[in-house]
Amino acid sequence: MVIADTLVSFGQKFLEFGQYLIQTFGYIGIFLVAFIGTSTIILPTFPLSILVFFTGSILNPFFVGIAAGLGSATGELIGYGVGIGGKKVLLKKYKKSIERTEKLFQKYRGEVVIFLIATIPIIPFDVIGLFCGIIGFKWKRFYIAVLLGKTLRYLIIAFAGFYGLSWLATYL
Amino acid sequence: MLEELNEKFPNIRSRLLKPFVVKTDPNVLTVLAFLAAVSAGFLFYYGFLFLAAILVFINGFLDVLDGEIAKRFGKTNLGDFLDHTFDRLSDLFIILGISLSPNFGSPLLGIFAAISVLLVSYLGTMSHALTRKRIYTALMGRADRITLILVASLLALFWNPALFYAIAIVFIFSVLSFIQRFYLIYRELV
Repeated sequence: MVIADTLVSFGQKFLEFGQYLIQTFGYIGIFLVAFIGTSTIILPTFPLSILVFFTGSILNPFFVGIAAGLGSATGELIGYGVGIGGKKVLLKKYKKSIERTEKLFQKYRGEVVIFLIATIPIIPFDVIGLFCGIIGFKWKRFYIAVLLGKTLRYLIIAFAGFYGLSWLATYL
Repeated sequence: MLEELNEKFPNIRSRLLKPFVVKTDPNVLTVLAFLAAVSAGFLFYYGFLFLAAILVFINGFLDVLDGEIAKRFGKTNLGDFLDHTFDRLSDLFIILGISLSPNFGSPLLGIFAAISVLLVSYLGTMSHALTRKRIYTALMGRADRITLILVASLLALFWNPALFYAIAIVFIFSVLSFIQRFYLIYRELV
């Protein structure tokens, strides 16, 4: 009960922080919200989809989607960096599951997998960032694939907010 | 302090970092360390101390790691330039993020601390330009600062004024480090 209350107040505080950043900095605020939210790797922060959805109904949804995509792709790079730093240690510990995912990356082009997971969050994307760092996936390719995937995702959410399609946002 | 220890016992840091050193472009890590500091600054500003502490740790870890990788696989002037520049920007984001936060109480102290940190670094650059020698001597270097802020932000979760005292210590020791470096360069040049 105490943990649930703490998580709710934590989520509310983050929502207030997100609103503050967006009200103060506009599109740059959206970039910051997306960037900060994804930079904490697996730890939860902003309800980004909700913020993008509502901001899409107030500001220009196209620029909202672009700013959120750019911010979250940049924030994901930190997880990628931690992956590089923890490469040796993590490779030893999770050798089998890393090798399995690596095979998936080889079978289908790595960029396509990254793009798809960035667009449709089947698994938490932070894991993919860490993984790409571990296997030494080229950072430029990683960044471009994440940027395209995340931008597409947030463009859909922002336009869903613009047209009031709340049912669509629940899927993303 | 920690930098001087590292100069005296260079093997300790290398040994500790050995499990993390991989062949990669250290400049990428330099930029990623900076991005972590930017995020930490904003999180400090709004009082998310635990998350900010994690990002300060990532910043410090990647910063040390990029240096170690550069040392192992070859240093470049570009790497040196990027490392020093992004380190100073990271310092600014972290210190100003903490001290401009509404909960901090004395933004002026933070601004003075940030200026004093930059001045210490400025004297390091002056020394290199005028005497062709690098000075790492300082009562408080970057490693000390990051360690202190990291510990203080975790302490601040239970004891509010911890970050205020940490920034005050950063300010006082940076001023003393400035005087120390000024004296060393002066002695070298006269």
